[in-house]
Amino acid sequence: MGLKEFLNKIAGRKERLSHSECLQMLNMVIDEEMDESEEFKSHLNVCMPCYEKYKLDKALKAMLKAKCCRAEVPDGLVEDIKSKISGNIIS
Amino acid sequence: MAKNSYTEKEKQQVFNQEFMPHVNSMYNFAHRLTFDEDDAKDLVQDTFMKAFRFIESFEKGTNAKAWLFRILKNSFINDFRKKSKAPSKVDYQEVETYYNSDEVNTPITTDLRAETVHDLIGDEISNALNSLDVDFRTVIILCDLEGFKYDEMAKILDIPIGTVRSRLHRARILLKEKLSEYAKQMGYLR
Repeated sequence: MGLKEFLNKIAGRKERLSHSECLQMLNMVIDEEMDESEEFKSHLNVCMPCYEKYKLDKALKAMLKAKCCRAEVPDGLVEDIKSKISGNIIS
Repeated sequence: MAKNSYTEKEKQQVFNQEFMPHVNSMYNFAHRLTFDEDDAKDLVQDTFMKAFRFIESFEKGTNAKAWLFRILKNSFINDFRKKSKAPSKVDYQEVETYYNSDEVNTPITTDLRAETVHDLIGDEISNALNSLDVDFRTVIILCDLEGFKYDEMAKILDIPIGTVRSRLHRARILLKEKLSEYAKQMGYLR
């Protein structure tokens, strides 16, 4: 019995997500464009490369959000915009 | 697009309540596009002026942030990118065929791991993002920094959702390659 068959057997599922299907779904799951289906989760449980990619992409997304700190809005920008708009209304 | 009729007072209200709260995100986006404080300021001001001029095309209570980002992106392409000495180009055909190629099935394109990403400091991630070509940089900013959904990104960028997905996929691969280089330079990776 091959490893894949063995893993399928112990996971008790016949219908499984293929490796490439899982990779196609990864971005969409990470971006919350689709829910993590049971098939997706069970593929991750048995597929180390997909699991590593999932962990990495998720970590990267979180780090981007946390570490790409926002540039400070320069002083006076908000006031400039507001005064130009008020000028527009008056004129 | 359907026109909405607003009184001057309503225009001011919509502008202050629905547009101005996004000024930080807009400035951040503009700064990551232009890499220059003055250009970013001009771009944001210009975007808000246009938003005010065309305020009747905006329906109160709808997605102001996406609407504003779309104006900003168009202003950048039309007014700022033209000034750039070497406008960057993405080989779209390559991007389109990429997603359908076997490369998508390659699970890990770099030896970068989640644990290594945690060791990187903000500057490296920020620099890696900034090093990407503007079209790839933009999808990462919109998706990962600003939290736009694919359908919103498609509208902001005037591209089909399939292209959003493929461009994002490619952008993440390039970002990881860049981070992998940094990690190697710093000895996190061999």
